[in-house]
Amino acid sequence: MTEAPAKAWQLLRSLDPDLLACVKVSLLCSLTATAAAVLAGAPVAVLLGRRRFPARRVLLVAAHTGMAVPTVVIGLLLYGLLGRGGPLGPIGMLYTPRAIVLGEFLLAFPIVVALFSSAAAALDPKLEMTARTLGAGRLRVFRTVIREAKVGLIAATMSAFGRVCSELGIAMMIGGNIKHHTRTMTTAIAVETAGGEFAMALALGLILLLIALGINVVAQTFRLPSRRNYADVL
Amino acid sequence: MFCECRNLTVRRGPAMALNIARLGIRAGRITAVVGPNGSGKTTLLEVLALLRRPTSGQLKLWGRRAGPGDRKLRRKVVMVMHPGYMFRGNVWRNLMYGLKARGLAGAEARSRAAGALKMVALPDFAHRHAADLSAGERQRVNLARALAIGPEAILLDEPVANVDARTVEVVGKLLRRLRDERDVTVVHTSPGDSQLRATADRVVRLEAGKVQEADEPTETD
Repeated sequence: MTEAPAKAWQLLRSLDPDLLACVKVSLLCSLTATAAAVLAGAPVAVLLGRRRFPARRVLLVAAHTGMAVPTVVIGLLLYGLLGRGGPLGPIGMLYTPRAIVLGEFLLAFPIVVALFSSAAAALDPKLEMTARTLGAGRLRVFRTVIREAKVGLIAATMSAFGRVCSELGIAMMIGGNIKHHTRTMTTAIAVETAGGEFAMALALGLILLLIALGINVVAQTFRLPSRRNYADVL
Repeated sequence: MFCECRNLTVRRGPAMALNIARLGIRAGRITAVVGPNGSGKTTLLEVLALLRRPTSGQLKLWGRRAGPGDRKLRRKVVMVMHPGYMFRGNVWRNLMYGLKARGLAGAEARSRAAGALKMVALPDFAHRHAADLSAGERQRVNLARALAIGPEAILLDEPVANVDARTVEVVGKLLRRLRDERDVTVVHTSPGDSQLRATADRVVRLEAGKVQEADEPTETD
């Protein structure tokens, strides 16, 4: 146990293939799931943030509830769907990286929708009218809303990525923790720790911490008000 | 004739925001719409700018039946809101917005944008950030942004509210120039005796959504 930090450092320095394989699977799955969640979630968030319609409140509550769903519950539901006896069993998706991406997408989507819809709702109500009176069509108006609320979109994206990158339940339950195939950083940490291989777990934990730090640095860079934004406040 | 309204109503929930039996506004003239807060001035401008669909009634712009779906007509008229919304970024980006929406780019767009800035007496403001502008400068950039697209009618909602004397002077001169040199139809609103009222060829008074008085017949023909 006392040798673990030195061994972990050695694994990191030597770019251990097993360690790199976990990092690669984790990042590929997390980035794909986050990108898909942003692409699908941004239009929904703009709709919920900028339009008033009867089901709006219900959908917003659903999105906020979705943010708090435990990953093992998503894993359980998908296991039921994708498992051998499940309705989607025949497509053979269980224990593949695609299954992890699907589960992480379901985890990231409500985060993007809930956080970005709040940012979109905070924009000036005159935004769309201004764009339309200057000649913008529907698509340009939509792009303008996204651009005007881009700080919120970046924050939502970073939060979603942070959540899917550090989740364990989905990757474990429907990824299956298959070495060099579906073993992510978090599942590897759980397995290696259980097997007494603290060095590998520690090295992966360090990488996860660095990713979390990176995400926060990026998010803060965009969140901090610039000199120009102070002018708005004053 | 710029616009002809007949039995035009706009409802907002249970309240009637606008209820105009008949109103015509001539093209190429300056019309002032005055009335207290909540009298329907902004709603009228939104309807005329084809940004809001009336609940009932008929609206014709330049003799054609018009509604928010008519993008071609909508691009001939522009509304300058109060307070105006400025897009993130610098003044230049704001000026180019409407031009890009019309597919204009390159030298022509640049020349139009620069010309519009000169018209509002802010020729060196292209690279200033929108958030750094004073209320008066903001309003003038707002106006320049609308002028850059070359509208046939410009509708200004309280254009000189909360601005400095210099802006009032610039806006007044500009509105006369637009009418006299470019034959642009100008409609502006104010809650009471606006400093711009003297520029108007005609005054329409609104109260509780209805035309109470117009200093020339409201008949549309």
